Amino acid sequence: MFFYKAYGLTIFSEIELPELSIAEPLSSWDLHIKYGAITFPKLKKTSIYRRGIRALFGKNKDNLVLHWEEVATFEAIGGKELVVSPWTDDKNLISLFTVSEALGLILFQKGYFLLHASSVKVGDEAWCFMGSPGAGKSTTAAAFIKAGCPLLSDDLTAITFDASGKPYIIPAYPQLKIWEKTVNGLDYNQSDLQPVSEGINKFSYKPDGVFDLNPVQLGAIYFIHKAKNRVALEELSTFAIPMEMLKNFPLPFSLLTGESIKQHFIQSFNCAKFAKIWRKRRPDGFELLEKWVQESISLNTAVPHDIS
Amino acid sequence: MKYKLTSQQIASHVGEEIVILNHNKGAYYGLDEVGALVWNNLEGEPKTLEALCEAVTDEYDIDAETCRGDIELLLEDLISEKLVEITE
Repeated sequence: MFFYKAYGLTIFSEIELPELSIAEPLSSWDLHIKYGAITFPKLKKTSIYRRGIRALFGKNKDNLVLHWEEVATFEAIGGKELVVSPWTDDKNLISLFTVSEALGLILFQKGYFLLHASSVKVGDEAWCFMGSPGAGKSTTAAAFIKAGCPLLSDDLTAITFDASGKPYIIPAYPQLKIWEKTVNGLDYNQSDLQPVSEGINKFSYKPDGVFDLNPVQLGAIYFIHKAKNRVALEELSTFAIPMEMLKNFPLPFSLLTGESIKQHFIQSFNCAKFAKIWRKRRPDGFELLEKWVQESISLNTAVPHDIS
Repeated sequence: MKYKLTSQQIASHVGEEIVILNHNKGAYYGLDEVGALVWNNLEGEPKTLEALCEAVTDEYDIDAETCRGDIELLLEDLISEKLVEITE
């Protein structure tokens, strides 16, 4: 039996999940992860791939079922219980799949706003980086972390809102997956890294020290792209906001119908009302990336001079 | 005859613009400044075509006839997308 904390939840798990922050044993918890048999609903193909496997998705009434061929089937129940039915003995693989989309289903049931993004803390606000695979989400986050910014999330970002609609990023767990090219380009120390079974040339970096679990107010969202025909930096137009957020929804799109698409729409605009949303061309090369990171940090943490 | 917003829509105001979602269809729409003015007028309570025209001509330098034609077209679009319906 294992106890963890992630995404603001206390977790009691029958499965070892080395990615997560360990918690003291508890007598009650927010989420129970357990082994069990799952009744297959009618499953449909999704647009989600991990390790080259395409996820299938279905529903048993309100329960959400995600099936990964030859890895595991997951069933999320009421945001409180995650049943896992493994099809492999590879523990690393099972934990990897558990702490990504499967945990995402639980967060969705809890009403969090979810994005396929990486986020870091800059000064006292949270910055979030999105983009298509390979655009540079994790690389951008890695550059900010190298410059001393704490990591908040990688890949799956969860946002919650206070009563006034103000958005906060809920820290996920202390792990960032980066490409070998990024490791070398940003001079990350190889001894601090572990190879990821996620595929070739990817490493996992665990930041040192205590992983702060307190939510951080959202300050900026960047959609990172590589398009040379667009300006280097532009503010996202109002009309583009819900669409871009939708494109970066990390779970099956069929979850967004009726009430939940309404909520997604409102939450998208709550993010836009309180945070700056940019479309940014990825800096050309690591040197320029680091330069941009330094400029951003100093602009954001500049102390106003007292002229009295 | 009055026009009112349907229960299939939800709208968000950002600056001068409005983005509307039809959550039954899962489709998004955007309205420019003038469209937004008409929409704002419908948000409070059902309105007649005359009341909507008056709201626009008060705000913009446009003759009543052109205005009426434009608003009729806009309402037709909004009705066909099930964002607005006719009442009474």
